Amino acid sequence: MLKADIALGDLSHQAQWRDGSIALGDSRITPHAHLSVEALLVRTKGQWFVMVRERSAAASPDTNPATRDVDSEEFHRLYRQCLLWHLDYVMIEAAQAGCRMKLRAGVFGSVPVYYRATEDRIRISWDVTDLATEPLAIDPEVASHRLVMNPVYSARQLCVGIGLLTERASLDIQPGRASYRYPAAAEETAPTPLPEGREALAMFAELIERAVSARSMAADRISLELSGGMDSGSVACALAKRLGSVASKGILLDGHVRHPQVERRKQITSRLGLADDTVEMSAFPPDLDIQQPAQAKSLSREYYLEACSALWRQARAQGHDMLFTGIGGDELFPSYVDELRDSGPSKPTREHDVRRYAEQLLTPHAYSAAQSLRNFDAPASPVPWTALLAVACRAPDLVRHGLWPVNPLSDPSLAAFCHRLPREHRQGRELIRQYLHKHLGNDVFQRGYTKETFTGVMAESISRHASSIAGQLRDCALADLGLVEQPAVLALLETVATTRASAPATALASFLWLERSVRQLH
Amino acid sequence: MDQLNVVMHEEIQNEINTFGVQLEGPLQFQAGAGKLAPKINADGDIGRVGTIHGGG
Repeated sequence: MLKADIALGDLSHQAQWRDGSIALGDSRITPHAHLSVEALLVRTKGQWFVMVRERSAAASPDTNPATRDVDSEEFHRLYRQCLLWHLDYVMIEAAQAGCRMKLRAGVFGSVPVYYRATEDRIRISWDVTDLATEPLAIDPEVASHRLVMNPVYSARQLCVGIGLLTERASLDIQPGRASYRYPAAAEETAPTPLPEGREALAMFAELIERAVSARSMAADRISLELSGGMDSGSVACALAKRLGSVASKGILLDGHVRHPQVERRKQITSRLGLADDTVEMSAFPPDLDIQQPAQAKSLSREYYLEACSALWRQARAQGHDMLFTGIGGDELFPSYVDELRDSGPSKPTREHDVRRYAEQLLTPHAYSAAQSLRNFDAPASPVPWTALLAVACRAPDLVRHGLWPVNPLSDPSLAAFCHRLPREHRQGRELIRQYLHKHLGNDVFQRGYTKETFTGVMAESISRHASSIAGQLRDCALADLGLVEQPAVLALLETVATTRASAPATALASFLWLERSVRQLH
Repeated sequence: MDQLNVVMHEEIQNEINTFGVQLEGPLQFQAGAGKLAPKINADGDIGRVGTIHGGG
């Protein structure tokens, strides 16, 4: 949402707008220049704060300059008001005496906030490339968990010295000292009866439609990622109800999932009146080149970035600058432990298979690290942390493409409502199915429908490029760091090449993506 | 960049802290006294972990 490069000594200066940035001495805070983002500078004697936030749908155009000079009482009032902003934000606050500052993040995590603080300087950016300008050490504990596909949502990141300001967290900085503070854990949820006289579907509809409509927007600014699944389908319904016809974009897969995906997308787009564009997955296969010095650096990268980028370029070519997604939908209807117990002993899952393949790559040291329980994760969040990670992975690339990400199914109010639903509404994603039935008819998402899935794509691609991947893995950064056994990596590559099975391919892809990040950042 | 120079919306819709945002006030106006650890700048023998010299 912003970039900043602040010499801590400059915090003694008064902050002021200059050429689209907030200047304090030679230091700059630059809000991301986008219609979906607004910025406010509030100053009082010896103190100021900058608020960069998502622009609300309730916006009433105002010609006031975004600088407020106020007394101490008003400063406190505005400060509190900004902290409770109902959309996402990043705040930088400074006290000129002692050159102190605080960085704070909102609840939504819509665009990541990375920082690198040194003795007398802090740099902040949504783009990790800005911070990875010098040699960086790799955190072996984080890397080991990533290798066994245990995602980590925490201040600690892959590179030592680059931190992530997780949702609601704050970072206090003064010359020579930094102090990070996680927020209190979000309240635990449990299934709860609905309020007397209220109906689940009506409440769900109200919340999803409110989430879709919360931000300042117009139909001619919007593209929707429409895979053809229930999540993006429900966002499409809510958007169409609010705005009528909008543009949808989709990646068409090959194989047995293609026909049902194409048919389902056709039904959705025709019934909602969407202007649809597609790209072929086969035309934009995942880039498996792990050397790629020209690529933007990343701590984690979308697996199918090439195909997604093709969609995003289409959206920009049509003049759109907001991208709605279905991210967060997978997290809306969790099961509770006692519910799983009721359904009998769990069967081995594909996830177990994938993890088993991933563990085979590790050295004993890395395996030991990956087995250890972490004690540095961010506390429970109002937006489920797996959704936050998915958003953080994709948002920098979206922002680079000029698109502002909007993920209505990652709305914290919607998540809180769905997580508390009685079991009959959550089981089998019943409530979202009812919402889709209401808007699209009963024939689009029938029980047991064939879901679109990317699982076959990676196995095919790796298999096709096995020899060039093997060549690139003659030198292996993660092996040099003592985290993986290079012969085990080559053996897994051989397994994927010969079997084209999705579980080993997923484990190998995860390794390849981390290997590429480490080569770029190390 | 012009759009950054106007604020489109002033009043927030909901002043309830639904999601547990840390609501302490702004930073203190005055800096603290800046206490320095007594041993941190002292030369001396190698001592216990966390000290610069062995004390005594």
